[in-house]
Amino acid sequence: MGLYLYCLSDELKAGATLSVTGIAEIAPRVIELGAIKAVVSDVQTHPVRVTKDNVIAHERVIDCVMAQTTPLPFRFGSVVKPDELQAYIASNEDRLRSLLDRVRGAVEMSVKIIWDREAVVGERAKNRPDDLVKAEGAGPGLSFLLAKQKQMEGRQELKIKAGLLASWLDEGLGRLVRDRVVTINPADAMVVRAAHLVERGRVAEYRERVNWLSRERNDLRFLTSGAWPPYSFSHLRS
Amino acid sequence: MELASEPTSVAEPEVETEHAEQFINELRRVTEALPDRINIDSESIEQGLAKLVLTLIEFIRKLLEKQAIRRLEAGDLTSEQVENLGLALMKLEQKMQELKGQFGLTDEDLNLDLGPVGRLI
Repeated sequence: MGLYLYCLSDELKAGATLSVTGIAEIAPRVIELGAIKAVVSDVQTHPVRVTKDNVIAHERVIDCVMAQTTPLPFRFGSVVKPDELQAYIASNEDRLRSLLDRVRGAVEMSVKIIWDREAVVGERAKNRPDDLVKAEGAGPGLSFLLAKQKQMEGRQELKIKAGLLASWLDEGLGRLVRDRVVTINPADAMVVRAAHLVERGRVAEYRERVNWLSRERNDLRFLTSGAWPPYSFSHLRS
Repeated sequence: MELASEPTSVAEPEVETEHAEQFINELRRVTEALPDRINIDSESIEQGLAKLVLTLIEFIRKLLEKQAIRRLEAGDLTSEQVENLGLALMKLEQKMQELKGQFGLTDEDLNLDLGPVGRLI
C-alpha cells in the first residue's frame, strides 16, 4: 500500500478532510510534515491506471484545494511510501516553501500561439533571392553545403523571430504576470507556449489584455486558457 | 476543508480561441509525438532500438554539418577539401534516408521533444 499524492500546501491544517473523493473513491486527507502539509490518499495498486475517472478524480481534489488556496500540485500518478514522502519533504523543505511563496494567491494561465510558419519562411526566401544563385557553377559537394548553410540561416532567423514574438507577448502583459515559463519552438506551427503565474484578483484583467494583444496581431492564432493549478511552477528545478 | 488562512476565490477555468480546430489539430500532433512506453516484445524492440541508434547518429550528423558550415564560412579549407567534405556529408544524409526508410521512421521520429529544453535537433 502507498500514498497517492495530490498536492502540497503550507496553509492547510493537518487532519482536515476534503469534501470530495479522490482516486478509487477514497476521501483524501491532509498530513503534516513539518511546515508543509500534503494532501494524500491511500492506494492499493501502483501504478495508478490512467483512466478518465482517475484523471478527473485527481483534478477534483486539486480543484477543491485550489478553491481556497494555491497548492503545489503533483503530476497525475505520483505514488510513494510514507517514509519516502517524509524524506522528500525533509530534504527539500526550504525549496518547497519558497515555491509555495512564489505561487501564493496566484493561478496558472496559458497562452499558446500558432504562426503561419510557411509564410514566415516564404517572406525570408523573397528577401534573399541571391542565395539561390550562389551555388551556380559549384560541384555537388559545395552545392550541398551551401544548401545546408541556407537552411541553417533560415532556422536561425525563425528562432530570432519566434524569440521576438515571445518578447512581444511578455512586454504586452507586463506586470500582470508574476512569473512565466515560456517554450519557443520555431520549427513548429505552435511557436510559443507560455504559462503565466497571475494573481487571482487580476485574472479578468489578464484575459482582457491577452484579447487586446491578439487583436493587434491578425497574422497569429491565439489560444488562452485557465485558471489552472500552477503545474508549470511546481518543479523544484524551476 | 479547514484552512489556516482566509479562503480566496479562484477564477473558473475557461478556454478561449477563435481557431479551435487549428489548435486541436496542433495539440493532437504534439501529444501523438510524445514517446510511448517501451514495449518489450520481439516485434517492437528492433524498431525501438533502431530509432534510438538512428536518433543519435542523426544528432551527430547535424553537428558535423554545422561544423562543416563553420569551416566553410571561416575559409580555412581548400576548394577540394570543401567539395570532399560536402560529398561525404551528402552521402551520409542519403544513407540515413535509406536506413530511416528501412525501419519505417520519419525525420519527425528522430527529433525527440525534450519538453522545456526544446527539440533534440
